[in-house]
Amino acid sequence: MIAGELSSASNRALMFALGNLVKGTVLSEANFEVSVREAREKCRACSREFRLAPPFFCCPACGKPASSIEEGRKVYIDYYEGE
Amino acid sequence: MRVYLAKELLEANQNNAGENRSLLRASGVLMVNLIGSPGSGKTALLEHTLKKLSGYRTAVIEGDLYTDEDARRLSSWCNQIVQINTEGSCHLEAGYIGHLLAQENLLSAELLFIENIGNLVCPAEFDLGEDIRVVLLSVTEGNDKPRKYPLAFKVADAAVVTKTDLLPYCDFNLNQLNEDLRKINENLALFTVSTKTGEGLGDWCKWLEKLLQRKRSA
Repeated sequence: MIAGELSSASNRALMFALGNLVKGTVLSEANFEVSVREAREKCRACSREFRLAPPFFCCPACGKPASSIEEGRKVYIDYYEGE
Repeated sequence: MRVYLAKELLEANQNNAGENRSLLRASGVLMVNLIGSPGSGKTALLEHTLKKLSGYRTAVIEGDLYTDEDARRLSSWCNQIVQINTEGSCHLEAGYIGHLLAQENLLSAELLFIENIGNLVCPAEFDLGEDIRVVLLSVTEGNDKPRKYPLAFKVADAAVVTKTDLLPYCDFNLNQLNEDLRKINENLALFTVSTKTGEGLGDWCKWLEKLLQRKRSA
Protein backbone atom coordinates (compact mmCIF):
# COMPACT_ATOMS: atom_id res chain seq x y z
CA MET A 1 0.00 0.00 0.00
CA ILE A 2 1.05 3.55 -0.60
CA ALA A 3 0.00 6.18 1.94
CA GLY A 4 0.52 9.83 1.08
CA GLU A 5 2.18 11.63 3.95
CA LEU A 6 -0.73 14.10 4.16
CA SER A 7 -3.38 11.36 4.09
CA SER A 8 -3.82 11.15 7.88
CA ALA A 9 -3.37 7.38 7.47
CA SER A 10 -0.93 6.10 10.05
CA ASN A 11 1.45 3.40 8.85
CA ARG A 12 1.33 1.72 12.26
CA ALA A 13 -2.50 1.77 12.41
CA LEU A 14 -2.79 0.32 8.89
CA MET A 15 -0.39 -2.53 9.70
CA PHE A 16 -2.27 -3.24 12.93
CA ALA A 17 -5.64 -3.33 11.14
CA LEU A 18 -4.45 -5.45 8.21
CA GLY A 19 -2.68 -7.91 10.51
CA ASN A 20 -5.85 -8.43 12.53
CA LEU A 21 -8.14 -8.63 9.51
CA VAL A 22 -6.36 -11.64 8.04
CA LYS A 23 -6.09 -13.69 11.23
CA GLY A 24 -7.75 -17.09 10.72
CA THR A 25 -8.18 -16.54 6.97
CA VAL A 26 -6.30 -17.95 3.96
CA LEU A 27 -4.29 -14.71 4.00
CA SER A 28 -3.03 -15.24 7.54
CA GLU A 29 0.54 -15.76 6.27
CA ALA A 30 0.46 -12.73 3.98
CA ASN A 31 2.98 -9.95 4.34
CA PHE A 32 1.88 -6.35 4.11
CA GLU A 33 4.00 -3.36 3.23
CA VAL A 34 2.92 0.23 3.63
CA SER A 35 5.13 2.87 2.03
CA VAL A 36 4.74 6.52 2.91
CA ARG A 37 5.00 8.75 -0.14
CA GLU A 38 6.23 12.30 0.16
CA ALA A 39 3.92 15.01 -1.10
CA ARG A 40 5.80 17.19 -3.62
CA GLU A 41 4.90 20.01 -5.97
CA LYS A 42 6.57 22.31 -8.48
CA CYS A 43 6.10 25.89 -7.25
CA ARG A 44 3.83 27.96 -9.54
CA ALA A 45 5.85 31.10 -8.81
CA CYS A 46 9.51 30.06 -8.85
CA SER A 47 9.31 26.55 -10.41
CA ARG A 48 11.29 24.98 -7.59
CA GLU A 49 10.16 21.47 -6.64
CA PHE A 50 9.48 21.24 -2.93
CA ARG A 51 8.05 18.96 -0.27
CA LEU A 52 4.60 20.01 0.99
CA ALA A 53 5.17 20.26 4.71
CA PRO A 54 2.51 21.14 7.27
CA PRO A 55 1.35 23.45 8.64
CA PHE A 56 1.66 25.92 5.75
CA PHE A 57 2.53 23.78 2.68
CA CYS A 58 4.41 26.80 1.26
CA CYS A 59 7.38 26.85 -1.12
CA PRO A 60 10.47 27.26 1.11
CA ALA A 61 12.16 29.42 -1.54
CA CYS A 62 9.52 32.07 -2.31
CA GLY A 63 6.74 31.44 0.24
CA LYS A 64 3.98 30.81 -2.34
CA PRO A 65 1.28 28.46 -0.93
CA ALA A 66 0.90 25.07 -2.61
CA SER A 67 -1.79 24.96 -5.29
CA SER A 68 -3.09 21.54 -4.25
CA ILE A 69 -2.21 18.87 -1.73
CA GLU A 70 -4.35 16.15 -3.35
CA GLU A 71 -1.44 13.91 -4.40
CA GLY A 72 -0.16 13.73 -0.84
CA ARG A 73 -3.59 12.74 0.48
CA LYS A 74 -3.98 9.53 -1.55
CA VAL A 75 -3.99 6.11 0.07
CA TYR A 76 -4.08 3.20 -2.31
CA ILE A 77 -3.30 -0.46 -2.83
CA ASP A 78 -0.40 -0.40 -5.27
CA TYR A 79 -0.15 -4.13 -5.96
CA TYR A 80 -0.54 -7.64 -4.59
CA GLU A 81 1.70 -10.55 -5.33
CA GLY A 82 1.15 -14.28 -4.89
CA GLU A 83 1.55 -17.79 -6.22
CA MET B 1 2.81 -13.00 -9.99
CA ARG B 2 2.45 -9.33 -9.15
CA VAL B 3 -0.88 -7.63 -9.93
CA TYR B 4 -0.92 -3.84 -9.92
CA LEU B 5 -4.16 -2.27 -8.71
CA ALA B 6 -3.25 1.35 -7.87
CA LYS B 7 -6.79 1.70 -6.49
CA GLU B 8 -7.46 4.55 -4.13
CA LEU B 9 -9.20 3.62 -0.89
CA LEU B 10 -11.38 6.74 -0.85
CA GLU B 11 -12.35 6.32 -4.52
CA ALA B 12 -15.85 5.08 -3.62
CA ASN B 13 -16.49 8.19 -1.50
CA GLN B 14 -15.13 10.43 -4.27
CA ASN B 15 -17.47 8.78 -6.80
CA ASN B 16 -20.45 9.31 -4.51
CA ALA B 17 -19.42 12.93 -3.94
CA GLY B 18 -19.26 13.44 -7.73
CA GLU B 19 -22.80 12.05 -8.10
CA ASN B 20 -24.04 14.39 -5.36
CA ARG B 21 -22.40 17.33 -7.12
CA SER B 22 -24.14 16.44 -10.41
CA LEU B 23 -27.53 16.25 -8.66
CA LEU B 24 -26.97 19.62 -6.98
CA ARG B 25 -25.86 21.22 -10.25
CA ALA B 26 -28.96 19.96 -12.07
CA SER B 27 -31.29 21.26 -9.35
CA GLY B 28 -29.47 24.54 -8.66
CA VAL B 29 -29.19 23.87 -4.91
CA LEU B 30 -26.22 25.40 -3.07
CA MET B 31 -24.89 22.86 -0.54
CA VAL B 32 -22.74 24.17 2.31
CA ASN B 33 -20.76 21.77 4.53
CA LEU B 34 -19.97 23.20 7.98
CA ILE B 35 -17.11 21.62 9.89
CA GLY B 36 -15.54 22.59 13.22
CA SER B 37 -14.68 21.36 16.70
CA PRO B 38 -17.40 20.42 19.20
CA GLY B 39 -18.57 23.69 20.71
CA SER B 40 -17.18 25.90 17.94
CA GLY B 41 -20.66 27.31 17.33
CA LYS B 42 -21.83 25.44 14.22
CA THR B 43 -25.43 25.13 15.41
CA ALA B 44 -25.57 28.74 16.67
CA LEU B 45 -24.19 30.03 13.36
CA LEU B 46 -26.74 27.93 11.45
CA GLU B 47 -29.60 29.10 13.66
CA HIS B 48 -28.81 32.77 13.04
CA THR B 49 -28.00 32.23 9.36
CA LEU B 50 -31.34 30.49 8.79
CA LYS B 51 -33.19 33.33 10.55
CA LYS B 52 -31.42 35.91 8.41
CA LEU B 53 -32.00 33.98 5.17
CA SER B 54 -35.65 33.20 5.93
CA GLY B 55 -36.66 34.51 2.50
CA TYR B 56 -35.06 31.46 0.88
CA ARG B 57 -36.15 27.82 0.91
CA THR B 58 -33.64 26.26 3.30
CA ALA B 59 -32.89 22.70 4.38
CA VAL B 60 -30.46 21.21 6.88
CA ILE B 61 -28.80 17.82 7.21
CA GLU B 62 -27.89 17.65 10.87
CA GLY B 63 -25.06 15.29 11.80
CA ASP B 64 -24.69 14.11 15.37
CA LEU B 65 -23.39 11.03 17.09
CA TYR B 66 -26.55 10.18 19.03
CA THR B 67 -28.97 12.98 19.82
CA ASP B 68 -31.43 15.09 17.85
CA GLU B 69 -31.09 18.15 20.10
CA ASP B 70 -29.56 20.37 17.41
CA ALA B 71 -32.15 19.29 14.84
CA ARG B 72 -34.98 20.19 17.22
CA ARG B 73 -33.30 23.54 17.91
CA LEU B 74 -33.06 24.38 14.20
CA SER B 75 -36.35 22.91 12.97
CA SER B 76 -38.33 26.15 13.44
CA TRP B 77 -35.92 28.11 11.24
CA CYS B 78 -35.75 26.03 8.04
CA ASN B 79 -38.20 24.43 5.63
CA GLN B 80 -36.82 20.94 6.12
CA ILE B 81 -34.40 19.20 8.45
CA VAL B 82 -33.06 15.64 8.38
CA GLN B 83 -31.16 14.13 11.28
CA ILE B 84 -28.24 11.73 10.78
CA ASN B 85 -27.01 9.86 13.87
CA THR B 86 -23.67 8.25 13.12
CA GLU B 87 -23.72 6.26 16.41
CA GLY B 88 -20.10 7.00 17.18
CA SER B 89 -18.60 7.62 13.75
CA CYS B 90 -16.68 10.91 13.64
CA HIS B 91 -17.60 12.20 10.17
CA LEU B 92 -20.28 12.11 7.45
CA GLU B 93 -19.73 10.32 4.13
CA ALA B 94 -20.89 11.19 0.62
CA GLY B 95 -22.89 7.96 0.17
CA TYR B 96 -25.26 8.73 2.99
CA ILE B 97 -25.74 12.32 1.82
CA GLY B 98 -26.56 10.95 -1.66
CA HIS B 99 -29.10 8.57 -0.11
CA LEU B 100 -30.81 11.52 1.61
CA LEU B 101 -30.75 13.64 -1.56
CA ALA B 102 -32.59 10.82 -3.35
CA GLN B 103 -35.05 9.92 -0.56
CA GLU B 104 -35.93 13.23 1.04
CA ASN B 105 -37.25 16.40 -0.52
CA LEU B 106 -33.95 18.23 -0.03
CA LEU B 107 -33.43 19.16 -3.67
CA SER B 108 -36.42 21.49 -3.56
CA ALA B 109 -34.42 23.79 -1.27
CA GLU B 110 -32.34 26.70 -2.53
CA LEU B 111 -29.79 26.47 0.27
CA LEU B 112 -28.90 23.14 1.84
CA PHE B 113 -26.66 23.20 4.92
CA ILE B 114 -24.86 20.19 6.36
CA GLU B 115 -23.73 20.39 9.97
CA ASN B 116 -20.93 17.84 10.08
CA ILE B 117 -19.83 15.97 13.22
CA GLY B 118 -17.83 18.14 15.64
CA ASN B 119 -14.25 17.28 14.67
CA LEU B 120 -11.43 19.09 12.85
CA VAL B 121 -9.71 15.97 11.50
CA CYS B 122 -11.88 13.35 9.74
CA PRO B 123 -14.59 15.60 8.21
CA ALA B 124 -11.78 17.32 6.28
CA GLU B 125 -10.93 13.99 4.61
CA PHE B 126 -14.39 13.22 3.24
CA ASP B 127 -15.74 15.19 0.30
CA LEU B 128 -19.56 15.19 0.47
CA GLY B 129 -20.07 16.79 -2.94
CA GLU B 130 -20.72 20.18 -1.37
CA ASP B 131 -20.37 23.46 -3.26
CA ILE B 132 -18.54 25.10 -0.41
CA ARG B 133 -16.82 23.82 2.71
CA VAL B 134 -16.71 26.15 5.68
CA VAL B 135 -14.57 25.61 8.76
CA LEU B 136 -15.52 27.27 12.05
CA LEU B 137 -13.13 28.34 14.76
CA SER B 138 -14.28 29.95 18.01
CA VAL B 139 -12.06 32.50 19.75
CA THR B 140 -12.09 30.35 22.92
CA GLU B 141 -10.26 27.57 21.04
CA GLY B 142 -7.24 29.77 20.35
CA ASN B 143 -5.73 31.14 17.14
CA ASP B 144 -3.28 28.24 16.80
CA LYS B 145 -5.86 25.81 15.40
CA PRO B 146 -4.96 26.32 11.70
CA ARG B 147 -1.33 25.46 12.53
CA LYS B 148 -2.44 22.36 14.42
CA TYR B 149 -5.13 21.20 11.97
CA PRO B 150 -3.89 22.64 8.66
CA LEU B 151 -5.73 20.21 6.39
CA ALA B 152 -9.17 21.39 7.56
CA PHE B 153 -8.24 24.96 6.57
CA LYS B 154 -6.39 23.98 3.40
CA VAL B 155 -9.40 22.21 1.90
CA ALA B 156 -11.98 24.83 3.00
CA ASP B 157 -13.45 27.67 0.96
CA ALA B 158 -14.14 29.87 3.97
CA ALA B 159 -13.30 30.15 7.65
CA VAL B 160 -15.68 31.69 10.17
CA VAL B 161 -14.24 32.93 13.46
CA THR B 162 -17.11 32.68 15.95
CA LYS B 163 -17.87 34.11 19.43
CA THR B 164 -16.02 37.34 18.64
CA ASP B 165 -17.91 39.06 21.50
CA LEU B 166 -15.53 37.09 23.77
CA LEU B 167 -12.39 38.53 22.14
CA PRO B 168 -11.71 40.97 25.03
CA TYR B 169 -11.56 38.01 27.43
CA CYS B 170 -9.38 35.65 25.33
CA ASP B 171 -5.75 35.75 24.22
CA PHE B 172 -6.83 35.31 20.64
CA ASN B 173 -4.56 36.98 18.09
CA LEU B 174 -6.69 37.74 15.04
CA ASN B 175 -3.74 39.20 13.09
CA GLN B 176 -1.67 36.07 13.65
CA LEU B 177 -4.62 33.92 12.59
CA ASN B 178 -5.02 35.93 9.41
CA GLU B 179 -1.32 35.63 8.61
CA ASP B 180 -1.34 31.84 9.19
CA LEU B 181 -4.48 31.35 7.10
CA ARG B 182 -3.02 33.31 4.16
CA LYS B 183 -0.03 30.97 4.19
CA ILE B 184 -2.15 27.82 4.36
CA ASN B 185 -4.84 28.83 1.87
CA GLU B 186 -4.54 32.12 0.03
CA ASN B 187 -8.05 31.78 -1.45
CA LEU B 188 -9.83 31.26 1.87
CA ALA B 189 -12.63 33.75 2.60
CA LEU B 190 -12.53 34.87 6.23
CA PHE B 191 -15.50 36.01 8.33
CA THR B 192 -15.65 37.11 11.97
CA VAL B 193 -19.02 36.58 13.60
CA SER B 194 -20.77 36.90 16.94
CA THR B 195 -24.22 35.37 17.13
CA LYS B 196 -24.71 37.16 20.49
CA THR B 197 -24.29 40.67 19.06
CA GLY B 198 -25.03 39.90 15.40
CA GLU B 199 -21.67 41.38 14.34
CA GLY B 200 -20.44 39.97 11.03
CA LEU B 201 -23.58 37.93 10.29
CA GLY B 202 -24.59 40.30 7.49
CA ASP B 203 -21.33 39.89 5.56
CA TRP B 204 -21.44 36.11 5.98
CA CYS B 205 -25.03 35.86 4.72
CA LYS B 206 -24.38 38.25 1.81
CA TRP B 207 -21.50 36.01 0.74
CA LEU B 208 -23.80 32.96 0.77
CA GLU B 209 -26.41 34.83 -1.24
CA LYS B 210 -23.80 35.85 -3.79
CA LEU B 211 -22.68 32.22 -4.18
CA LEU B 212 -26.28 31.11 -4.64
CA GLN B 213 -26.86 33.73 -7.35
CA ARG B 214 -23.65 32.67 -9.08
CA LYS B 215 -24.70 29.02 -9.02
CA ARG B 216 -28.13 29.83 -10.44
CA SER B 217 -26.68 31.83 -13.29
CA ALA B 218 -24.03 29.21 -14.13
